[in-house]
Amino acid sequence: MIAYGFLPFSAYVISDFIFFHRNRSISFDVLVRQVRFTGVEALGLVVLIAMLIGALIIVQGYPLLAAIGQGNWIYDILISTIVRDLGPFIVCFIVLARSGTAITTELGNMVVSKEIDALISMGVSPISYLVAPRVLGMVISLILLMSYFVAGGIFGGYLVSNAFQSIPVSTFFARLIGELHWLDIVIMLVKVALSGLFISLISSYHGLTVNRAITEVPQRNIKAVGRGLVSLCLIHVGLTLLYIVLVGN
Amino acid sequence: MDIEFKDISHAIKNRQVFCELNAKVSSGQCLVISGRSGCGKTLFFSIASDIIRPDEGEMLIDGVPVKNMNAQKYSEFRRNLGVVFQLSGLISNLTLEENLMLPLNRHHKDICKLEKQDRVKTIAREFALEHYLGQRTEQLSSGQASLAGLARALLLKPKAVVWDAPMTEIDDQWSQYVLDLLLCLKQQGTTLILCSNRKEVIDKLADKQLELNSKVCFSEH
Repeated sequence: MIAYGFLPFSAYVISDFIFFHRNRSISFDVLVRQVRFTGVEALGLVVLIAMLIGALIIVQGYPLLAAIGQGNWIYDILISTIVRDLGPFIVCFIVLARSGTAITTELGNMVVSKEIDALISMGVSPISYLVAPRVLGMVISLILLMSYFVAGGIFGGYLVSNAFQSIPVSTFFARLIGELHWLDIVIMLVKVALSGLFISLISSYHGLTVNRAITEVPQRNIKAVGRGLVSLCLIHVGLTLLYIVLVGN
Repeated sequence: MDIEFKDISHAIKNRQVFCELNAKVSSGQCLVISGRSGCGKTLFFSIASDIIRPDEGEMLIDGVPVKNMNAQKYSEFRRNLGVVFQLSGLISNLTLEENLMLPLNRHHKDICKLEKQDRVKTIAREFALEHYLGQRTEQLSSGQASLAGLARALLLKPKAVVWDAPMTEIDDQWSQYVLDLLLCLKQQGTTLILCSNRKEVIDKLADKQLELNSKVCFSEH
């Protein structure tokens, strides 16, 4: 399947993970490991970055907006950065750099050490055992990470906004939710789910296209990160434009 | 299990490695593939274990071409073929127990976990690996990893075993034990295909020997 190129490979993987339950006896453990590595072990890093960005937006934005008498716009800015645009991109970028490269390296090393051949010889499909659970795990993990990021970013923003103006928690969150459009949540979820799908497919594909030498692994990693980044940009820009068209501003 | 290689031709990067190669090995027989380094023993192993399909020709199992098998027949073929790699082929991010569980989880979904664990412990004990079941396979010595690879291949009681460079990593004592085990399997009707130049393997096990050279020839003892 690898020899046919990226698109047939992706179609095969997607058809395989639709029927994930059929292979759960061998694939479920891989799915759990992927969610733990990407979605749980990255928790600290993502929450820290989210809180810093949330705080930074308030520190930079609030004095400027307050000076022109538009302090309430800070909720709009928090939503567009943390929830809709910057937040999903940062989370996806962290996952591409951290988990995408790990997938390419791991699969590439498995090809070189004949572990993929060993799986084939046992009748275990490398796609069902290695790729489909990673793809599914990556999508689940990105949704999890994004929810931590939103929580962390908004909490960070709230903590710093208290330095400028004392606002009760309930008022802060009521105003924030009041500014939140249902489409913000939908766009955020679609962005991270699609990005998770593409990051894992691209990383797995490049890992499995390693032929024989261990020296190919870093080269494949570079290609995977480059193409992953391009696909992330296209997904995020495309969905942001779609949001603008749908909301009409 | 009767295995036949019919008119196998295969080239790697414009270099013709096999040209209309024919060989047949029946149940209870051992075919040893020998030849100098780089002559194509590992390539033959990959074709015999159906990891690589040859450019031309086909492999037949009990008279049925592998490439024509439906999914169920192919899964049955995989279950009945034990494959042992030169570098063990153990999955490095799994423990030894998880590695040994893989073929059971793939081919025996109906068996309960306790029974699977019991089978794994039994085969691990046979190769003195029972104390390493919880360890990641990268912590095993190369000899132990080879034995673990053999244990994994024999776990499902295959009807045929294909082994690339047998006994290269194993000490003399274990080599003797493995040779006796292979002889015993052969007597019970298991088909063996071994890619090896080792004299003791050829002397003790070979019924047929395929010598791979620049000009492929085929001789039977």
